[in-house]
Amino acid sequence: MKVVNRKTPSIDGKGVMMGRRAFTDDFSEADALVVKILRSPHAFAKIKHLDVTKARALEGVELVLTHHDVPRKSFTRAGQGYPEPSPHDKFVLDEYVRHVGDEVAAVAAIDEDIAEKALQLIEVDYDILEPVLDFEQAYQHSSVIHPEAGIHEMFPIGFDPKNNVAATYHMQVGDTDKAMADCDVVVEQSFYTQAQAHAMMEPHTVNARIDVLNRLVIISSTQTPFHVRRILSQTLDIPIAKIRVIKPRVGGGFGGKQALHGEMLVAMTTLKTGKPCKIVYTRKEVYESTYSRHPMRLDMKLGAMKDGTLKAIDCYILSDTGAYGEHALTVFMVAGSKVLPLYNKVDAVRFQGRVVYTNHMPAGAFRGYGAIQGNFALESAVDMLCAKLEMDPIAFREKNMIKEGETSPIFEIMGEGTEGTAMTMETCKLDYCVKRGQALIGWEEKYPRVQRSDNKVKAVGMAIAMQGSGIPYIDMGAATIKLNDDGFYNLMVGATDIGQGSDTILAQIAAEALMTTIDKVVVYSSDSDLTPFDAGAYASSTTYVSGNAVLKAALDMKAMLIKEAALALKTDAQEVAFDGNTFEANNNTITLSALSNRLYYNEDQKQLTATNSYVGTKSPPPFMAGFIEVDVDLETGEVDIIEYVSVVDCGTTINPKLALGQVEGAIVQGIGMAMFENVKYNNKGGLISNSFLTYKIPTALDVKKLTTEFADSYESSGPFGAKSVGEIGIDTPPAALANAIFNATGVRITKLPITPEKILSGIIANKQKGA
Amino acid sequence: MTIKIVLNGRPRTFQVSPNEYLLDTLRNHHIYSVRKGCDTSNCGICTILMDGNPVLSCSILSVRADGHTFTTVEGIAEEADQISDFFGDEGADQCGFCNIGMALLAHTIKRDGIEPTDENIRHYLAGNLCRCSGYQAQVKAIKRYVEAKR
Repeated sequence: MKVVNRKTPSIDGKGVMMGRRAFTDDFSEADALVVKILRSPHAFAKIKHLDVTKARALEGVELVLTHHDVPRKSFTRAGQGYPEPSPHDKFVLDEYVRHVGDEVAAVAAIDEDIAEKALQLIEVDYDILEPVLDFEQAYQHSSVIHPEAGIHEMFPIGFDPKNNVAATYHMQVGDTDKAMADCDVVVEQSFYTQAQAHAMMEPHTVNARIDVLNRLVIISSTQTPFHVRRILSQTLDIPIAKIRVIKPRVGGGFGGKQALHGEMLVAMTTLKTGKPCKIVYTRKEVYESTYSRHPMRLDMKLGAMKDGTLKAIDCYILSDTGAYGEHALTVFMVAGSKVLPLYNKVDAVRFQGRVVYTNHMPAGAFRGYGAIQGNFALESAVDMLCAKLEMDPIAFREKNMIKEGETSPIFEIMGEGTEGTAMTMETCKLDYCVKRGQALIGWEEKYPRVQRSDNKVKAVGMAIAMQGSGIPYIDMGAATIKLNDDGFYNLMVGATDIGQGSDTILAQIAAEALMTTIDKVVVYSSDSDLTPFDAGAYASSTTYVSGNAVLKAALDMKAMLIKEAALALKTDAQEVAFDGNTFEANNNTITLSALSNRLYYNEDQKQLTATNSYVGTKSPPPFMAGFIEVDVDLETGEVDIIEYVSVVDCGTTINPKLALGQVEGAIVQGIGMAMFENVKYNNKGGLISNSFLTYKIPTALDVKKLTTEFADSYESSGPFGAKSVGEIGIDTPPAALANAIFNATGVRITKLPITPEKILSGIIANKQKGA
Repeated sequence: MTIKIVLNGRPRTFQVSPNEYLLDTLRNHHIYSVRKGCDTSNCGICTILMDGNPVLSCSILSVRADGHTFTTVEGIAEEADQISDFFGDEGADQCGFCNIGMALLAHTIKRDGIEPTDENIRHYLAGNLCRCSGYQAQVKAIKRYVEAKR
C-alpha cells in the first residue's frame, strides 16, 4: 500500500494553523443578530408567568421567544438514526424547567450587550418544585420530572415517565443464579462512575441565514449534520427541502456535538426575523446546558471456579440521564454490549437495569458511550476476583478473554436500542496486545508493587477493552467521487470531520484505491445540499463505515475510467491496464490527465461521477490492553502517572499518526475521568463545575509519558483491513488506575474519580483494620 | 473610543467600546485566527503576542491595548507554515482550535532560545488546553521544530 497505512499530515492542519477561516463562528455574518438564552436558575420549576414586555421594548432587540411562541412538538436532541431509540421528551421551549441551565426564553438582538440586557429584563415567576437530585432515589419519586402530555418513545424502550424512568432493559443468557451458585469464588461490588464533561475546545456554535432561494441555511459545529436537518424539519414543521445544514471545521466533539444544541432556537429566530442570527455558547453554557457523560451505579457480580475459569457475570446498572433521555437506552446498552463479550466463555450472563430521570443536566453521548463505565466495573471486579483466587490478573485474562475466531451470544442479543447482529471475531489480537503491553510496562519486574521508600510505592495495573466499528444495519455512510480535468478528483462525503482527521483518512482510502496521491483528492465533507448522506461522526463509524463507502465509490470510479480509456484507446476494457496515471493497452497509452481533458472538452464528453454507500453487516470491535505505572505517596494519597502503555488492535491503521492521536487523546481524556474530572452540583442542583477553573481537564503537565503501539491486524471486511479507533482508547484508564492503586496500597477504589483523598482514606481505614 | 496599535507590523486604528476585550476587537476586524474557548481566561486558545510576549487576548481590555504592538499567527505566517509541517508530521493537529496558540508559543520558545526539553515545553504549554491530543504529539512537534531551527 502506497498511501494507506502511511503517515501523511492531516490535509487541513496547515490551513488552520495559518489562521484561515475554518470554524463556525468564522463564517458568521457581520450583521448577524446575537441570540442569547435565558436559563433556569432552578433545578425544577414550573413557569407560572413570563413577562417579556420590557425586553421586547428595548432598542436593538428584534425578537423574544418564549414557550408561547414556538411549536409544541416533542423531540429528542440526540442525533442517532431514525426512529431514534431516545424518547421524545423535549420541547423547543417548555413551561417546565428541569435542570439549572434549562432554556426559559431566547432573545435575538443587534449585539451581545443588548441581548444580555434584554435577558435581565425578562420577568419570570417560577413555581419551584422539589427536585430529584439523587439518582438512586429517582425511581417512583414523588416529584415526576416529565408529567407533561405529548412525550413518547419511538419504539418500546421501557419508557415510563410517571416513575421517572427513561428506559429499562433486561437480558440473560443461561441461568445466572444457578451458574453463580455453582461457583467456588464469587465477588460482588457496586461501582460508581461520575458525570464527565466533554470540554471540547470550541464551544457549541451555530449561525443561520435565509438564502436567495428562501431556504434556511444553518452552519453548525455539529457531529451529525443530517440528523440536525431532519430533526429541525420534523420539529419546526418545515419541509426538509427548505433546510441546508453545513458543517465547517469543528473544534472537537467527543460526542458532545452529537445532538442539537443551539440549532433549534437559532433556526427559529432566523425564520421569524428573516435576518442572519448566531449563537456561540459561553463556556458556562457548554458545561451547564449541553450534556455530560451518564453517571452510573454498576452492581457487578462475578463467579469463578478455583482454577480461574470465569463462569458467570451478573450486572445491574442504574444510569442517570438527567433532565432528558438523550442516548439514555443506547449508552446503557453499550455498557453491556461492548464490555461483557470480553469474557465470552461464561456459562451465564445477565445484564439489566434502568435509566432514570433526575434534575441534573442531561446526559448524552460521550466517547466510550457506556463502555468506559462498564469497563471500570468489570475490569475492577476481575482484579478483585483475581485477588480472591490469588491468581495473576494477566493469567486470568488470558484464560478467559475472547479470542480470534470466537463469538459471544451478546452480539446477537444486544444492539443499539434493539437486537444486535451475530458476528465472529475475524480479528482479535487481544492476546498479543496483553503480551506486548506486559513487556512494554515491565510487568514482571513491577507487579504488583515496588517499595521505593517508606512512603513511596510504584505499582502497575491493567485492563482490557473493546468497542465497535459503527452500528450495523442502521447507520449508512455514502461517498461521491467526481473526476475533474487534468485528472484530479473531488471526494464528497457526508462523514463528519470533527478534528479526528476523517477527511484525511478518507482521502487516503480514495487515493489508494485510485492509485494516486492524496493531493489529487480534494475533500469536501458534510454539507446536506452538496454531499451524500452519512449518519455522522459517532459510534466509531467513520473509518469502517464511511471508509468502506469511499472505497466502493473509488473502485466504481476506477471501473468508469477504464471503460472510458478503452473507448479512447479503441479497445476493450479488459485490455486496459491502469497505474493511477496512465492507461495502457496494446502499446497505446493515454494519461489520466489527457483522458479527463478529453472527457471535458473533446470527445465522448461527459462528467464522470461515482457514488456508493455502505452500511455495516457487522461491527468488528477494536480491542486494546491498557497498562499504567503509577507512583503513589502513601502519606498524602497523591498519584503520579509514570507511564501509560496502550497496545491496540484496530486492524490496519489508515494513517498511523492520526490513529495514534486518537488513542493518545482518548487515554488522557480517560485518565482525566479516572483521576479528577467530576461534574459537581450544590445541594439545590446548581452546577459547581461550570468553568475550566472549577472543572479541571488534563494539562500538558499531568501525563508525561504515553507509549502506544498497534497490533498487526487485518480485518478483511474493513477498508484496506481497517477497523475504527475513535473511542477504544478511553475505556481502560479508570479500571487500570483503580487496579494499580490496589496493587500499590491494598485500597480498592470503587467510586470515580480516584482522588488522593479517597486513596488516603482507604490507607487509613486499612491501617485501622489491621491495628 | 479610539485605539492605535501595531498589528502584525502595520499600524491600525480601531473604534472600541469601554467594556470591549481585544479578542473581540480583533475578531470584529476579521482576524479569525484569534478564537474564544472560555470566559474565564483559562484555556489559552486566544493567545497572541503583546510586545512580543504571549498573552490572553480575552483578558486585555481593548482600551489598554492602545500604543502596544501585537502579533497574531498571521504575523508569523512563514514560521507558522513551517511549524505546521512539524505538527503534521507528528499528527499533532487534530481539531486545531488550540494549535494557533501553540504555534505562537513554539515561536516564542525558539526566539528566546529556550532549551527544548520536554519539561520546558510542557511548562510553556501548561496554560494552553487541548482536549484532542493528550499533548505528547504537540510536545514532540515543538521540540523537533526548535531543534531543527537552532
